[in-house]
Amino acid sequence: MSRRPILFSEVAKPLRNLWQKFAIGGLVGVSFFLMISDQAGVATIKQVKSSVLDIMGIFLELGTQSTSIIRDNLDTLKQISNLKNELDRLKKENQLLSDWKHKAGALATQNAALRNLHNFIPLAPAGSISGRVIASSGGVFSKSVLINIGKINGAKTGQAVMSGVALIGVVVQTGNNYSRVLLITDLNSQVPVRIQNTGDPGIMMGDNSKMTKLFFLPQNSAISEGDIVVTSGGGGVLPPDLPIGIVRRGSGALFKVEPFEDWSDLGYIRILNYKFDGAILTK
Amino acid sequence: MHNIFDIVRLIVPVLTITVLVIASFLPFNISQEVVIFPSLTIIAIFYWAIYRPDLVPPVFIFLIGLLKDIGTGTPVGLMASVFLIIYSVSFGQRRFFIGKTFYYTWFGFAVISGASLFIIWVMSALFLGRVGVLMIPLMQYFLSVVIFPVVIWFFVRLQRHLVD
Repeated sequence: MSRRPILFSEVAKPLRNLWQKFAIGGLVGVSFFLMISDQAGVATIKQVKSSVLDIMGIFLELGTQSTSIIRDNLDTLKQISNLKNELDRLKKENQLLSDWKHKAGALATQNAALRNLHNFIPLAPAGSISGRVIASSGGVFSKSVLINIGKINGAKTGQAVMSGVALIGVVVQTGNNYSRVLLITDLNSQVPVRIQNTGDPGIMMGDNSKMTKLFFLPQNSAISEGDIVVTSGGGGVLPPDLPIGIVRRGSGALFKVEPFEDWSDLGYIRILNYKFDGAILTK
Repeated sequence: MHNIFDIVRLIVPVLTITVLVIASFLPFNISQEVVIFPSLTIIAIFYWAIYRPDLVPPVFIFLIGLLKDIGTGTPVGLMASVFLIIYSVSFGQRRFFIGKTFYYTWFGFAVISGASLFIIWVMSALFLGRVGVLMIPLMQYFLSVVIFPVVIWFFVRLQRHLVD
């Protein structure tokens, strides 16, 4: 009697049943394993993440272009009806600004003279790379954006990212063509800051809300609402004196910072290409 | 006979979930307090897990979760595991929903999505060692529950005309 050949389905069926029973449990297990490896900073996961980021970036950039066209058109429609008021407002603002321009000119001259007097050695000026936001984590649990500046264009982990004039975040992950920026409002974000009016140092931490919190201010700090908060340059990661926001009073003894950046319209941004000598940047 | 329409029918559920995940990345508006997008992806996974689980394999849910993680910057695997949990709980309870009035489904979604958002909140707090504000996740949750019937209305039509 010849032996019956083993059919593929006979082997596959029990495996299939096993898979159907344990697929979800197994995949949840894999997810947890990935989470822990990711937190531990396994290099392979980082590589896969940045490759996926690069592929995803191409599609998101296309999507962003179309959504921004729609948004621009809607904005134009809204603005047309308000042109005359806007013109009046701009004229007034222009007057005010030209007044400030003269004051700033005088202060710059004075500053230069004083620096000269004290033999002040300035830090090297920072170059900048401009790009645009292509995706935002609509996530409620994290605040970050993807930008279309990658390693090829000179993006490095740890660089400061500005929108217009104010600091909005720090580059935390880089792909070849795209990078992720952790916003200062994210729960993970901690920035060494200085209160411009009093010179007090502190640490600014995000909590995923629109405002950030100020911690570790000196005991007898004369900080008050309306003071301007800038980076202190402490820790050697961010350049000093980048404007961030305005101090607001929180509950109790807590002070909060209202960022200058209006997050609703984050379009173009620039990375500061800046490096301290001997700076410690996380790779 | 297989034609292009048959293939479209088979991929509609997977396609809707994928499109919603990618749409959630687009920078429509970053403002956190004015516009909070409801978690449409969770609604989609919930719906298809109940009505057409045969067309949404768990491996797809896992992969789309990983994509969501990489896109939003959460630890890789976090959203993947939460999506899988939503999928398996909805799938496991589908007898409870099928053939009952819509209020049962609505109530079920409120419970399952509430629990899943809470899990995400706890897990992200565990990974960071700090607690984020609870208000914004709560607002997103209520918005998702409120908008649920509208999204479901759309999915039911999608299923009737394209899938079944």
